[in-house]
Amino acid sequence: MSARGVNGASVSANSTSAARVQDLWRARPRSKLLRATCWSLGLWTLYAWFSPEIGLMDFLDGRRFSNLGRFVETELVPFPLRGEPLSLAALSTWVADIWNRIGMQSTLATLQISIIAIVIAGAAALPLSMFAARNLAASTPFENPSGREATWRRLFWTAISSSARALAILLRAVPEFILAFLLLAVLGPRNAWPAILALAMHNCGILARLGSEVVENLEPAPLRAMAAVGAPRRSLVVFGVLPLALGRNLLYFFYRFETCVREATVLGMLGVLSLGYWIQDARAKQYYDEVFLLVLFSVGVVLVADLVSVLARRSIRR
Amino acid sequence: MASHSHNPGPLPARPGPFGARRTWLLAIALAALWAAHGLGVTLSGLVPSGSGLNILGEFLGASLSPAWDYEVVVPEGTVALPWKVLDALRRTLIFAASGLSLALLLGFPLGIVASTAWWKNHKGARGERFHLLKRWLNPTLFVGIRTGIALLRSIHEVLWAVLLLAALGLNSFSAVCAIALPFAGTFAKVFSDILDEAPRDSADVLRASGATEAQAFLFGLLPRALPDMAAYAFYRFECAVRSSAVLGFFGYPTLGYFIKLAFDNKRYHEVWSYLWSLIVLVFVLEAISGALRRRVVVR
Amino acid sequence: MSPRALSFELRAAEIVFDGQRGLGGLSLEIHPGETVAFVGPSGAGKTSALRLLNGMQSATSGQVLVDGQELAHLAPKERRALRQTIGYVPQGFGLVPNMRVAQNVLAGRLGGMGFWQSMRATLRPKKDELEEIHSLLLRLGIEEKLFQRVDSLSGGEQQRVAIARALYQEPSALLADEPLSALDPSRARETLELLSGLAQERGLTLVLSLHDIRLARELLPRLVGLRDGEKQFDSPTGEISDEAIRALYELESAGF
Repeated sequence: MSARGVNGASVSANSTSAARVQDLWRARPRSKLLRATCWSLGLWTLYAWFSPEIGLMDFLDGRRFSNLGRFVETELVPFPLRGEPLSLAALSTWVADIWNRIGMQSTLATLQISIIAIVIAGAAALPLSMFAARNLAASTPFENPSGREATWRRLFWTAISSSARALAILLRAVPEFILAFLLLAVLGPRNAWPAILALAMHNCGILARLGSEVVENLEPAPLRAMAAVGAPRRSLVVFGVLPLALGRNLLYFFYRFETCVREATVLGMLGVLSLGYWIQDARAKQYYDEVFLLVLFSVGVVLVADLVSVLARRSIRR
Repeated sequence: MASHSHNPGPLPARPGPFGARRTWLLAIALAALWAAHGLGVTLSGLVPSGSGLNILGEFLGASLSPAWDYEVVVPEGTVALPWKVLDALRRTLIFAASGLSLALLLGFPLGIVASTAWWKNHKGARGERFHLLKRWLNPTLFVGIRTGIALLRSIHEVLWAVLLLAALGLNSFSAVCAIALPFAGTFAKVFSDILDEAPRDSADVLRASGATEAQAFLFGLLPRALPDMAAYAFYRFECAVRSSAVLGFFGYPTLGYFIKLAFDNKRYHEVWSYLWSLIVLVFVLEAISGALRRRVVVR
Repeated sequence: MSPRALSFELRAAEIVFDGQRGLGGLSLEIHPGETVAFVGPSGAGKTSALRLLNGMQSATSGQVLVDGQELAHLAPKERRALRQTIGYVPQGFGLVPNMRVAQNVLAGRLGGMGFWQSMRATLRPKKDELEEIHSLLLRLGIEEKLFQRVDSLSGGEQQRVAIARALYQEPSALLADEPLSALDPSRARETLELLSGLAQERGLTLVLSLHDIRLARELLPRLVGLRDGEKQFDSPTGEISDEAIRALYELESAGF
C-alpha cells in the first residue's frame, strides 16, 4: 500500500513508521502569523512585568495591603458611622440624603446621556456598515465579478468600502474619555453634548464594524437571487439586507448600550453632570465614603442596563 | 403527482405586526424621546461658542500636521519629541499588557466556573460522593460567582482607578489592578457565554468513551471554545490599550497624561502626535486580527 | 486483538421524551462479535436505540445489559470503566475541528487517564503513541493527514478520523450512528465494508444505525427494523422479505 505524501510525492509505507511520523510532523501546516503574534504578545507581556515601570518585586510589596486595609477601615466608613456603633438608621439617613441631593438626578442623567448616545451611534452606524460591507459595497453586489465590468468601477467601490472601514476604525481608535475631553473644550462645560458625542462617535465605529461583518456573513443565496433578477442596489438594501441584518444589529446595539452606560458614568468626571461629576467632586474633597457610595449607584445603573440588555437580546434572538 | 388525500392542515399564523424587533425599535425611539426631554438637550448646545470655534478650527487644522518637534522651547537635553511619543506609547502598552495578562489569569478560571456547562455536569448525580451536599452548595456557589463577576465588571476601570489610587497611591500596582479587575469580570462573563454556546458533541463523545466530566469539559468543550476566546482576548488587548491611555488623565505616565498636558497648553500639533500614534497602533492591531481571523478561525 | 467482545441485551427498554414515546418496549440480544444494524426511516428511534447501549441515553423503563451487567445499576466509576470498552462514532463525528488529527485520535484514550496524563497526551503526545495512531490511520487510508487540522479535511476523511479515535480506544464493541449519511454511494459501500472488516479483524461487536437499507441488505448479516419506535423485524438478512422492507418504509413513499 502506498500513500501520497504531503508534498505530493509518493511515499512507500515500508519506510519506517517513526521516520514517516517525523516527516509528517515537520511538514505540518502552521500559521507563521499566529506564532509570530503569540510570541510577540507573550514576550511583550513578560517584558512589561519586569520593566522598571512595574517591577514585579516592587509590585508584590506587602505594605500595599496594609495601606489597603487602612483605607477600607477608615476612609470608606460612612461619615456618620465613624467612631460610632453601627446604626442602620444613621446609615440609611446618610444614603438617602446623598441619593436625594445628587444621586437620583445624576443617575438618571447618566442613563439619559447613554440612551441618546447609543441611538445616535446606531443610526449613524447602520448606513456606514452598509458602505463598509465588502460584498454589498462592490461594483456587482452579491455576485461573482463577471470580469466584464470596468476596472474603474471596481476600484471606485473598493475605495468606498475601504474608506468606510477606515472611518469606522478611526472613530473607535480614540477612547471616549479623550474624545469627550477634547469636545468639552470646544462645546463648553455643563453641557451634555460632549459626553453624548464622544460616546456616539466611539460606539458608531464599533457598531459599524460589527454591522459590516453581519452583512458580510449573511446567507448569500436570497440576496444573489434578488441581484440576479436585476434588483438595484437600493432595493437590495431596503428589502434584502436590512430585514436580514436587523436582528443581529439589534443584538449588538443592546450589547453596546450596557457598555455605554458604564462609560457615561465616568465621562462626568470631565465636567458633564452625570454620576462621575459628583464622584470627582467628592474625590476633590477627599470624601471617599461618598465616592464609594456613588460608585455603588453606578453599579446599580449599570446592572439595570445589563438586565434590559439581556432581556432585549433574549427576546430578539427568539 | 402527489395525491390530494393529505390534508396539509391550517397554515401557521402569520407573525403579528408587533414582533419582538418592532417592539424593541419602538421602545428605543420612546426611550430616546424621554432621554432628550429629561436631559433638556437642544441642538443649540451643539453649536460651539466663539472661543470654542477657534479651538475647533486650530485643533482640526493641526490634525494633518502632527508635531515632529516641540512647539515650545524646551530645556537643553530633553529627548526629541518622537522618542517621547514612543516612550509614552511604550508605557501605555506596558500597563495594557500587564493589566490584560492579570485579567486573563483571573478571568479564565472564573469564566469556566461561571459557565452553566461546567455546573451542568457537577450537579451531584446519585452515587457520587457528597451528592446531597453538592446539590445545594453548587447552585449557591454558582450564583455567588456570577454576582461577583457582575460587580467586577460593572465598575468602570476609571472608577477602579479612583478607588485604588486613594487606597494604594499612584503606583503601578493600582494602575495594573484598575485595568485587571474590570477586564477579568468581562473575560469571565464573555468566556462563560462562549463556553455555553460552544458545540457539545465533542465532549459528548469523550463522555461516551468513559472520560470523566472534567475531562469531557477540558478536552472536548474547552478546545472548541478556545478560538473564539482567543479572538476576544486579542480584541480586548486593543481595549486595554485605550483604557491604559485614559489612566494617564489620573496621573499615570501613559498617553492620556501627555495628551492632557499638551492640550491644556494649546500645543495642538503635539496632541496630534500622541493621538496618531494611538490610531496607528489600533490600525495595526485591527489588521493583524483581521488576517488571523481569515486564516485561523474555524469555518 | 481485543480481549473479549461485548454482548448487549435490551429487555423491554422504553424511552419517553417529554411525554412522547421515542422507543417502545424494545427487546433484543446481541451476541459477542456479532454485527447488527438498526434500520428504518428517519425518526424511527435508531439513534436512541444505539445510545441505550452505551448508556448515553437512559431507558425510562426496562433494562439495558452490557456484558451481563445492568447499566442502570452501575456506579459512575464502573459505568466509565465499561464505556472505555465501547467505541462510539456519532453521526456528526464529534471531532474538535480546530485541533490536529493526532490529538483527536488520542482523545479516544483519555477515559482512564488521570488529569496530568491527559494534559500531557493532548499537548505533548509521545513518539510511540503517535506511531500507533499513524499505523491506525494507515489502515484507514489517511495516514498523511496525521498532523492536519480536522477542519481542513473532507467529510469522508473526518469520518475516518472518528473511526480511528474509536479504534484507538481498543474497544470490545463499536457503535456507529448513521456512518453513511454524509457519503456518496461509492464511498458509502467502501465505508461499510471497512467497518465490518475492522470488526472481523479485531473480533468486535459492531452495532450500526442505518437509514439506507440497500447496502445494509447487501453487506450485513443481521438487521433490526424499527419504525415509530417499534421493532418490526429482527432476523438474519437472508430471511427478510421485500414485503417487510416495503412495509418498514411505507409512509415515506405514499405520495409517489
